[in-house]
Amino acid sequence: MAESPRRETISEVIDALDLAPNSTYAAAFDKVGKLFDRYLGQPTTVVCAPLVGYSGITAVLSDDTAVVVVADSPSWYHRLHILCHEFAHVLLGHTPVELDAEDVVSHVAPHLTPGMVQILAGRSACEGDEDTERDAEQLADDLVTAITEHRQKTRRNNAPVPCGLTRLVDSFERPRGASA
Amino acid sequence: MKLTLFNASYLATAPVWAAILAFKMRDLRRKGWTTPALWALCLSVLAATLSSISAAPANNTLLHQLTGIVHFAVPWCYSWATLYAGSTLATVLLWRYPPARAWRSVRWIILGYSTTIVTLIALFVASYDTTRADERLTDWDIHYATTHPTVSAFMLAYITAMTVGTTAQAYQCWSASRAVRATGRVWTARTLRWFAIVPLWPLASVLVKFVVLITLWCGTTHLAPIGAAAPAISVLGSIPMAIAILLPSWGPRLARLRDSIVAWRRYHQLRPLLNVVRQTHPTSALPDRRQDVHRRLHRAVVELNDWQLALAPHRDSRVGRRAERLACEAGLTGAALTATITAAQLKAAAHYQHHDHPVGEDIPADEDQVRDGDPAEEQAAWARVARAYHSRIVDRAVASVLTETAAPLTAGHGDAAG
Repeated sequence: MAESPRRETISEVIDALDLAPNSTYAAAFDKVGKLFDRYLGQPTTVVCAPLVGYSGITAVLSDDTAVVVVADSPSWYHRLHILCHEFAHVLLGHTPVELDAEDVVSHVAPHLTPGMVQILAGRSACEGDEDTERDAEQLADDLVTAITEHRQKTRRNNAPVPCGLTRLVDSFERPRGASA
Repeated sequence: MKLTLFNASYLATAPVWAAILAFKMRDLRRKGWTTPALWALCLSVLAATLSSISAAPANNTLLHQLTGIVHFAVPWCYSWATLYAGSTLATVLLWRYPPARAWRSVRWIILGYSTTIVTLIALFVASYDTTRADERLTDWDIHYATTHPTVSAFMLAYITAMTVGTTAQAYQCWSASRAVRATGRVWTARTLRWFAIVPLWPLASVLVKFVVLITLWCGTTHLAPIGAAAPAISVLGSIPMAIAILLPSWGPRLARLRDSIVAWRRYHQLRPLLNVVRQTHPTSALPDRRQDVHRRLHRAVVELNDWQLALAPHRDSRVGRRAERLACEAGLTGAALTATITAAQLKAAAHYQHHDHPVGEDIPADEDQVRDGDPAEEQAAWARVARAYHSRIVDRAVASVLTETAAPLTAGHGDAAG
């Protein structure tokens, strides 16, 4: 993805997330999970579960719903990154990676049953498709970085300015050339 | 010698004030000349520049020669100093309050300080005939204050105006600084604190002068030289003023520079462990195409967490227990203890993975224990693990457990190889 549309996409996603000030990464994880419905066009369930050999899997079920399984990492920051990687595949419109259904079930059961799944993207399942994985990983990096920056920005600007100090704060915190 | 010192102290700070003025004039031009607070600030810096220049004895003589008026520098310099006090107070009020509320006070300030300046000039004129015979380049006020009531009145008017203006400015800036700091706006709070320090120097100067005047009226002349030197204190206000003017734009840049230095240090703390990961688990690594250190740190944390996940099937709780015992014996507690246990488990798991030896302890994550802190906390935790990874405690813990499992490992490996 070229730099300009990439920036636009990230900006659009950040707006769509509508993160509350002081949002945790767990809250951001929930919000990104909810975006799958809109961008994938199907009701999507996001679950954290132990995975073997994969850190994230997106699957379309036979009843036209989807499931995203994220490895149960001990860090929400990392879980968010994995989820953003899965979401990046959707944003980039990547062609699904075909995996054997039985193999998938053994990884993510009991969430999926044999014959129900079509794998869209499996993080770490990138043999022979390094460019696709790298693109998704870099977009995931950008998304997590943008979420972190948004968190920091809203944290800084969220505290209400005491009555009577708004003008003063504006004077010092406006961009250069606009300060008094 | 004395005059040289006076000249040096006043003239050395004049370029600082002039630089501040040029800096703010640039803002004034960009803003389209329509911001009253910026006008007031520029006026106060201009007043400080001119009073600083004209206070130098060398310039006193020059002004005398140019105008033909003995002691012309006295009303000239004191008028600019008074204007400085009034305009800085107006600046602060225009910053702090809505325009309607601020202008009510600013109108009184304009009236009050204009009246003071007119009064100073009138009192100087009233004293002129009796003071012109003996030119005093540095101590006109102190020298004539005890013998000329008009000079005493001149001094009292000046001291009162300066004390009111500078005290109010210091109070307004300091209280605003405290209120802004409570909202987490660190650089704005620091800027205001420096703006609160600026008026303390001219305030100290006039208070010293006032004390000297009191002692002179009481008949003591020992402090007179200090009174003459007091205005030199006020010129030091240019230093905090320069800092206060630069902080809003340069402060955040300095903070970003400091953050980058901290991030590079953190990245180098993670490098030894990252090298281990990239050798043993190359699929998680993306090339460091971007030089931004914050991006590198983000990638490092992702790779380390990916590695930890990949090693989960090889996790051996015996290693953790052994490392905990050894670490406790070594006096480690808290985060250092946790890092040592994690490092030992990772090291043993990497060894098991290399020998294709799953331990089978698939322990799901405790959802209540999942970390959700800032990236900086995550990086710090991994930096502790990286430090512990090559420690003697970890090596001993891993070696002791591997010794116990050496037979099956060796046998399994031998079978596979055979």
